[in-house]
Amino acid sequence: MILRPEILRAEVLRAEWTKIRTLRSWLVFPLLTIVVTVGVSVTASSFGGADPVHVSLLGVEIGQAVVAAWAVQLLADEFGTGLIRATFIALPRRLLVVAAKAALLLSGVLGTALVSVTASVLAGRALIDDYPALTDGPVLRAAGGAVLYLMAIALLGLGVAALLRSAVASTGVVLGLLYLTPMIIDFLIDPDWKRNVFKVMPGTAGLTVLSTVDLATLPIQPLAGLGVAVAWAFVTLGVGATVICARDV
Amino acid sequence: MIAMLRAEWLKLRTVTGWLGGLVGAAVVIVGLGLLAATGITTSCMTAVCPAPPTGPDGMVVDDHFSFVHQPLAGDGTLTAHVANFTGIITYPPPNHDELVEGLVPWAKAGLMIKDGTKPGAAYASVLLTGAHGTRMQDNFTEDHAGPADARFLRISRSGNTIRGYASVDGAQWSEIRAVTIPGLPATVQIGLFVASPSDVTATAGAHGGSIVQARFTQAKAVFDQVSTAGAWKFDNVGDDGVQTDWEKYHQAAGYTTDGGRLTVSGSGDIAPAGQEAGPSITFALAGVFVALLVVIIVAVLFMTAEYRHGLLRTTLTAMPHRRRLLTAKAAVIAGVVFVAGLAATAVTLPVAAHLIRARGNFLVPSTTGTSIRIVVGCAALLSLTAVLAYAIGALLRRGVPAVALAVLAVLVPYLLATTSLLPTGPAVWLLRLTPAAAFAVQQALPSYPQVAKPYSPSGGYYPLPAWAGLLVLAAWAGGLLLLAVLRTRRADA
Repeated sequence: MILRPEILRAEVLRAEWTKIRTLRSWLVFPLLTIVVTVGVSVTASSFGGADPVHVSLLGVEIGQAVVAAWAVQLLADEFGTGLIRATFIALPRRLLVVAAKAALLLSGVLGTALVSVTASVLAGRALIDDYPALTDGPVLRAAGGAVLYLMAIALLGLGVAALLRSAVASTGVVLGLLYLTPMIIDFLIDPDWKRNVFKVMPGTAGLTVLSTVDLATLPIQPLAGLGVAVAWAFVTLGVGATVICARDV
Repeated sequence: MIAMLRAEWLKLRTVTGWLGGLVGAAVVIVGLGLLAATGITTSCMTAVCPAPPTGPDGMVVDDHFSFVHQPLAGDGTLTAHVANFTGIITYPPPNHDELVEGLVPWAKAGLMIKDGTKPGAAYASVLLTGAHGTRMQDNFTEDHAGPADARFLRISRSGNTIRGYASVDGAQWSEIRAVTIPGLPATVQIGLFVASPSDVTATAGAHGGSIVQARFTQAKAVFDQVSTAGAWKFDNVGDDGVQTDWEKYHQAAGYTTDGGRLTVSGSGDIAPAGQEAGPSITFALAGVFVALLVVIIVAVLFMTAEYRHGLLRTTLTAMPHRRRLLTAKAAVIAGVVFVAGLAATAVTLPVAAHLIRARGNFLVPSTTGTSIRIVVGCAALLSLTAVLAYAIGALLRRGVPAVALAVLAVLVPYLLATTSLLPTGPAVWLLRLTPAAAFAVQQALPSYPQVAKPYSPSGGYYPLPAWAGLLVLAAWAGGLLLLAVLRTRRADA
């Protein structure tokens, strides 16, 4: 029987969805993302700061670790258990499998991020005195940017997992990209180097999208910074998907 | 137990990725450290940057003040009454728009015995401060409080011992302290001095870290009932030749005399210098962060691989005592990481220091004790982090969440405390309570209560001493290991 491509696409999606939802712990990552993001944001908001909007979204900087682990696990676990062989025998068009995983992951992260970011911003508005109106351009940009940023980090995690196949190593690499960069920048002496590294790395550049104050002193402007993170996501996932198609499992 | 340790060491060293990872971590510490050392360049108007003065113990100091002095041969005493002590602060907050009359808390006026007028020379002093009463201070780091309401000061030399006294009425004297200044020559300079440190504030930056502002201040003290007459000489010790507009148009540092009254005005501070004096050896530790991540991954895998491949059942068949097995594994990973970390930091620190100096840069000196503490402390930080990650791995049994949790426990609090938007208050608590407290081992220069500098985590100052920080991490690692043992004893393998 020859399946038509569009049917195949739906089948792939359904197969991947079944794999996700039948895992007993499938809700752990989304719930943990929300708890961690909102928890850290609310704590930070209670102290206030020079950029109220950024402070109210500080949880995104921590929640991204959970999102990254979530994305890595979605793909790398199949390599770890050998399930990937069965998957690719049943669905030989590997690119479609990766696309289906990415689509499901993105919709999951989108929903999770919407809840986390909305709750964080509302909490910030309640807790910080000089919080701008929720309909202000910068607030909407920071909140929308936070959601897109978390989705970019999810794709980045998926891409790294496709490249490395080992779940633990992939988690390490993604968290290293996100968290070691600002630490290393702190140790660089040359101000030009500091700015250059800040501009090209996904975590430092991408998180500028949360800033709403004193933008002129940022090494890269918020939307351009988000663009850097998105570019990292697409390039890594593109290379990862190509490698998956070309390589033995 | 020995057999267990050997078996676990065999496992660790035969998995290429694990041993490679740990060797790689050591290489990264050395490589990034030396790279950072060669990246430091300083440029000045002159060809060679002038090095800041160093005190009698070789540490960097601030030594800038107005000194009205005369030579003192052999032993002697000087007494004076501070009749008036006033000052100005230029453009302080909130509006930064006016000159304000007033003294900063650590403005100083008093009597000093000093080994010449060269910045950094040994000294002892008795002084009145802006807001901290009378003090006896010597050789930059030492500070002892005297009576708060006294205005009469006396300093006396007897050999290498210098005594400081304070009095409310000029009749009843109380000794603040007797200090020993080794190596004082027969003839020293004795006299009156005034110093006024910058008015410093640190505000949270909009993109993390803090913005430190320092504002020029000047203090003016009127001394009367001075016990010694004779020819006074004025020196602006440590003056860099730069004058602020205030000094040019209002009142330059100097002294006037009117009958028995001497009016001395001046700026600057006599204190140990901080991180602002230049790069310290901490810059060679950049690789430790990368190494921490690698160590976390290897330590987690060392445990979770046992579950993933069912190896644990074989291990437990051979060595059924579960508590001993878990401790043996922990001991092996802790020991191996400690040795690798110690070797890497012990090589990096001296070589990086040599590189920085060889390229004509000034490196803030630290004592041998501090250097050893940083080397051993970093090895302990790496080793205890390995135990923590390993214990989390044993508790969760799954690699990805274990790595993520270990990173969130050790690296992220440090990041939040040093470079994020979090204000200093909660940042300091993160570095007291979380496993990241152990990063205190990196602090190269001590902080002093008698110095008005913004000592903050982002500036390289930690709330806990190094040993206490390591204890906090050890408590976390030990506690989690205990939980892991309890869980492994009850659960199926």
